[in-house]
Amino acid sequence: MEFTIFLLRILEILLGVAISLQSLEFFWMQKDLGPQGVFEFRGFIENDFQLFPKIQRSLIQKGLSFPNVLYLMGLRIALAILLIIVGGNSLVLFSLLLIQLIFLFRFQGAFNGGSDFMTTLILTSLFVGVSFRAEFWPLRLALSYIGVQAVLSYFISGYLKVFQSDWRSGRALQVFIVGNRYQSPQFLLEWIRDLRTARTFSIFVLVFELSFPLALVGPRFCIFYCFLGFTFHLLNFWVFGLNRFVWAWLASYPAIYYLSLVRSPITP
Amino acid sequence: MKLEPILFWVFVGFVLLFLLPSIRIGQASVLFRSWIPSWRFFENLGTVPVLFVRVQSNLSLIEDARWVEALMPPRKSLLGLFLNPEGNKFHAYETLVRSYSLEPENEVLRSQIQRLALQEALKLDPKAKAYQFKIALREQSTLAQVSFQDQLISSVCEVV
Repeated sequence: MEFTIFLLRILEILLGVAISLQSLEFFWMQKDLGPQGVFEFRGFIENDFQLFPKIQRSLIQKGLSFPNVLYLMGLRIALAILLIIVGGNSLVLFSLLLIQLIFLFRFQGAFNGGSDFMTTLILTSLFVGVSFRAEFWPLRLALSYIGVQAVLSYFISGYLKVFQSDWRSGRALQVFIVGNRYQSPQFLLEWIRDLRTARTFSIFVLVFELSFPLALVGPRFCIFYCFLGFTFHLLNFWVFGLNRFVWAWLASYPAIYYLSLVRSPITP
Repeated sequence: MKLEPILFWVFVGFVLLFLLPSIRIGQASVLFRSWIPSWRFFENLGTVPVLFVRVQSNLSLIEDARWVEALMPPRKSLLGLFLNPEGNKFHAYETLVRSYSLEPENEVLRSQIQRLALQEALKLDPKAKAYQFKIALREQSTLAQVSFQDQLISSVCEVV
């Protein structure tokens, strides 16, 4: 039980770091959130929330208009720091989760959508687990759900790719990297233009993703796969600039480790 | 009485309050997708919508102006692993172009794309008087010289 609490603390710290970094980035995007900015919000409220009761519309309007959205972001950073320092207080998790859901509605996953989903999933599971802390099994179940979803994130992704002939031949990876506008490193571009190299990389990605459930066999396998996973996300950052995925997925690793230790996640 | 279960039921109430109207307008999918994600990443090759703009200092001469691919990716740095606002903004713009390409009749997306196009047009020529934008589809199936197929072209917009 003590080790589970320890894993939970690590998870909370990593999640706090992920949320702080995601929120800090918005302060560099003020121009886009402002009255003439690309992601200005008024039209969205009038169009997409017209069926909401007036009081809800007015709350959303006030809470998410500029500059209030930045205050909300500041509050989110403060809460994330609290999560890092004091851990899973249910009030902190509750507030973070509400803000997370509000931002999901506002941005509809525009900013690295997958990482937003993983952050929401971890926050929701933790909040539900902590809400019934008096009994230990909901917390175990919450950790298990995060772990299962993290493992599935790799497995499903690989499973869907392996049926595509372009992925098996290496052509898909080649086109994604070469056609990527986020300036892939020059030597990688040259390497990947060779179809045999692309196929080798592609098969490595498929084998890694499809075999990720082996991380649950035991802690040693888990550490090995989490190390591979972290490296995989670093490469994705390096090639595609997806930095938010690195931190969101890293936060889920303690839950995978927890699952690798237990046979039955709800054993008291 | 403990605070935790109360907060839990407040949260359930909050979700229901937002979820019920959202289901009717199709916005709830974003919530469901975050709790039970599909985990589809880079699944297969297809077409990618790309934003082009053209600018002119004279409104009537806009037809002579050259289309330029908008949205230049930012420079990379190692620090971007921690904070990458420019990179994520670039990705968010690309997502916006994709969403607009799928739902061109969506008023909100249209006005967001219009503001994005204006922003990009002014980068090309800060003194521009008129601009126009288009979405063209790039086929992802080949490494050879890319070709584009126009999906939609905006009317000429005045810079005010």
